[in-house]
Order: sequence, then structure tokens, then C-alpha cells
Amino acid sequence: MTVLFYNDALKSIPYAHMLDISALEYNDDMIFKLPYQEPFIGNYMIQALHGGVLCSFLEIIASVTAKIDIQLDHMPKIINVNYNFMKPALGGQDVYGRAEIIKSGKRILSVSATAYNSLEGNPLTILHANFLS
Amino acid sequence: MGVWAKNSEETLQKMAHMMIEMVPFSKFLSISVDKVEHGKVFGCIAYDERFETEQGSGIIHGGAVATAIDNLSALAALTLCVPPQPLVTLDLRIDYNSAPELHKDIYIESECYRTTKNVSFVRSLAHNGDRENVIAHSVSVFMRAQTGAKGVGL
Repeated sequence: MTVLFYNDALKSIPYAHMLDISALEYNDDMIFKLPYQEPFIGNYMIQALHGGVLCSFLEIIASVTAKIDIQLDHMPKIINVNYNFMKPALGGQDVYGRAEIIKSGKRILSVSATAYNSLEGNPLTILHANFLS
Repeated sequence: MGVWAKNSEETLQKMAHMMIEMVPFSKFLSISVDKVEHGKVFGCIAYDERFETEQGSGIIHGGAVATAIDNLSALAALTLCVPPQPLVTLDLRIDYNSAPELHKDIYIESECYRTTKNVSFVRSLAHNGDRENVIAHSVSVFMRAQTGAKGVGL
């Protein structure tokens, strides 16, 4: 059921629609999928995805998770964000992501999100962001 | 190659061209480079309905701005690499200082303020055309490829 709420929230973001991001349930966990597309490539030589694709994906899933989990009626506003790039995301492979609220205060939400090539694998990029609810 | 070796003007233009034309995702988001100098880059991400945060909001999504900042910061770091070599983003931090003006293009200025043998440090700011009203401020770190790695073909 809840997967519908996430997908509805994603549908309201034109940029998420453009990147074709979707939510799915996996072992009682909510995960997000970014299907591979050729225009996402950032480096032809090593056939890796552009860092910006992962930034966009993570920021979208972090804000959607914050919105649904805290039951906000609007998208939270982003204040600051930090991305750590661990490993290049290789072309031809879909990217999956998980987001988690670290702390939700009265006004500030602290969220972290991680992108993977496979859920058992090593993280590709980690986001840590603060939102104004 | 001496300590003071600089990339030629022609190389800088080639780098700017490559950073956009050879990177499918920056073409996809129509990111452009307006001016490139040694260690400094001026670029732009044009407003497009597809990049909006919400239907009809007139605001470009933070993720699209982050992409433009990442791309142009990497180019600023690349201008100081002699000879040119591949760069990998290690860390990117963005502070969103204020909401952008609606339906407007976002201009980005990136400056590579320190380069060492292994890493380059870049700061960038994003605005709607007025440098006094900053939308976002960013600091990023890039890792320079190991010597002996494949060049970027310039």
C-alpha cells in the first residue's frame, strides 16, 4: 500500500519523472530504482554514470522519504547537502537506493540516503542532507 | 613540465567543449560553458519545465543544480591540470542559501583555489544573474588520476 504513496510523491516531481525513478517494496523495506539510460553516462572512457545523476537520484529519494515518513503535505525544502562518492556507478547497470531519516526535529529533518548497484554490494554514493520541514 | 606550466588558451577551449559535448548527461540537461579561464569557469543551466521540483513551481530541482555544479567544478579543476588528466569527484557539499527566482536560468561560477599532486579543491556559487543574491554555495574535492593512467586525449 505505502509504495503507492511514494510513487505518487515521485510523480509530482517532473525531474523524478524525467529520470524515471520508482519506488518498490523489498523485504518489507522501501527501496528506489533508477533504471539505466544511455544519456546518464558522464565518462565514456570508463563508461560510468555522471555523478550528478546519483546526486539527483539521492536528493529526490531523500526528500520523498522525508515527505512520506513525516506525513508532510508539501515537499521539504533542502538546506544543505553533502555527497560522498565511494565508487563509480558503471554504465549498463540499474541503480538502487535507500533513504533513512536520521533525526526529525520540529523544523529540521536530517536524512541520509545511499545508492547501490546491488543491494548486497558496496555503496556508490552516500548523501547526508538537512531539510526544513 | 615546469611548476608554472599552463594549459594553452586553445586547450582550455577544447576542455570546455569536451566537458559538455562528450558528457551525455550534461548535454541531456543542456548545461553550457560561457567562459573558461585558468582555474575559473562560468557556466549556466537553462530553465526547463522538465527539471522542476513540482509541476508549475518554476524552480529547478536541486539535483539538476548539483549536476551543473559538479560538472563545472570538475572543469575548473581540469583547467589547472597540466597535462590534462581524468578527474573523479570525491566529495561535494552544497549549501542552498536562498530560493531561486522563478522560471530563470541559473548561472554558476567555479573556481579551483588549490591543486596538489593528488587532489584539487574547488568552490562554486550559483545565482540568477546577480552575484549578490547567491542561490547556492558549494565546495568540492576532486581526485586526480594516477600518473600513467589513460589521458583525456587532448
